[in-house]
Amino acid sequence: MPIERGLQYLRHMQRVTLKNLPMPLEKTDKWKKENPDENTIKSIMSRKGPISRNSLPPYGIDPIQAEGRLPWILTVPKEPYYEGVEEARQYLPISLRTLQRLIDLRRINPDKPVDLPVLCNTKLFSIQPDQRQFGLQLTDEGADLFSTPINLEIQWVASELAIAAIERCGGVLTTRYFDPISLSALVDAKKFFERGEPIPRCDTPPINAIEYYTDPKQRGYLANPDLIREERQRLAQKYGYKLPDSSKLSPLYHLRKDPRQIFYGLEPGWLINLKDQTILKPTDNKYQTFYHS
Amino acid sequence: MNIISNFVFRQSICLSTRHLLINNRTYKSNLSYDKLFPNSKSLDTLSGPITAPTNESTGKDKFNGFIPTDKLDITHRHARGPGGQHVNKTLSGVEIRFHIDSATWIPDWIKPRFRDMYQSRINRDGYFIIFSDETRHRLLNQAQCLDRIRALIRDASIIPKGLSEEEKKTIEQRKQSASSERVIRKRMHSLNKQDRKSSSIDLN
Repeated sequence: MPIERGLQYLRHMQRVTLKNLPMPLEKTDKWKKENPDENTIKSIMSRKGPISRNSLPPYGIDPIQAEGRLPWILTVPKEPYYEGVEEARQYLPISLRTLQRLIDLRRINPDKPVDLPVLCNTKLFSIQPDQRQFGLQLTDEGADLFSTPINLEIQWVASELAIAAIERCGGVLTTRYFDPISLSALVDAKKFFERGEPIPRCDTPPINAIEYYTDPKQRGYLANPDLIREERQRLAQKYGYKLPDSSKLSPLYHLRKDPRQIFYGLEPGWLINLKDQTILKPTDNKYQTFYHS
Repeated sequence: MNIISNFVFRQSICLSTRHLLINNRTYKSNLSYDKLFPNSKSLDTLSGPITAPTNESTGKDKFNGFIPTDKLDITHRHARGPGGQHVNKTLSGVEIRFHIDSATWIPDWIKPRFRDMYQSRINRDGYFIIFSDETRHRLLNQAQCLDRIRALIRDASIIPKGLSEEEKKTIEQRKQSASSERVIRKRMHSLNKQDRKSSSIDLN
């Protein structure tokens, strides 16, 4: 019953006006002027031209100003060669050949874990975090020459051959992400400690990098260790070498950093005083929960 | 710069005992590995259980894909083709040989088929030879040789499924019905041809 419906509206609505009610519109003359129907449109508009012949160009193009030639927006081509270059991450290359050379010249000690501060202390790589550089990447030049077991931590690996070359000699490889603030601490560690700031807590990688760092094939640090073991076995069978016995390796090859940790042996939140040879640790609850989260 | 109040002084351990520092302290955040992967069988990436095959396949089973590299004879040779000094000096070609009959890692029922299918790669002494020099790296050439060996063994292990008795019966039935129809057609065609001839009875 329409009366009951009207009473319901009065009960449930805050304000009842002509415009609020869900009723069929009364078509006044004013309304008809604003919303003409198809026949009136046809009688008003011209009977010639692209509009009546259903051959209008797409929106944004003015056929009148084009005057027989293509409009500007169609003549100028799009060349998206450097699209996304402002957000792209850069990694400086280090080849297996240079690594082997550094080990032979005794600039790097393969008995201890080799990560970014060790490689930057050789002063051969200048990594600038403010230029969108996120660390080092391993290239596969010199894969046949490499012959030392090493516990390596690098930021990007593009080829499977490089991973196989390291694991063939009995080494371990992990790929690790560092955000720019942690990078500036790692690249020049001594300068960072002299600045007097607490060790930062490393962030999780951005969304377009998470797929890479959770991939066991790239030995990402967030990948499942079960799957990483399978991939090691698969590479050993593919390239034809034997995996070494893990019990005979020294415990430093099993060493891995926590995903929030930057330096081996040092926790985030600690302040290091090089002059007095002390470490200051926060005891306040607020800081402890932050640095352990 | 944040001011940390109530901090504790502690004498730091000196750098020569870095091993102690690394091994004894364990820092665990919310993203530590035992929280990210609570159901994993072993958190160590070097030691732990693996589901992929790590041992040879026994005599009568299917070939499981495992090739023991100790039992293969791998030699590095000069590669062929252009390349100047680099190709002449570096040994980037890889040749792999193994004796088929004494290979325990190939199942026994595959060996005779293998020998039949790949006669051109087998020696008079019974050695299977394969050589690859297609890439510039020795490791990649080795990987290609092993990949080919696995593919050849897998091809040799495929036995085509024979026809069952029902299928044979239906095939024979179809042949017979086709031939009987053909005979009928032929007879009709010959009647047609005979009708076109003049018959000897009308002349009388």
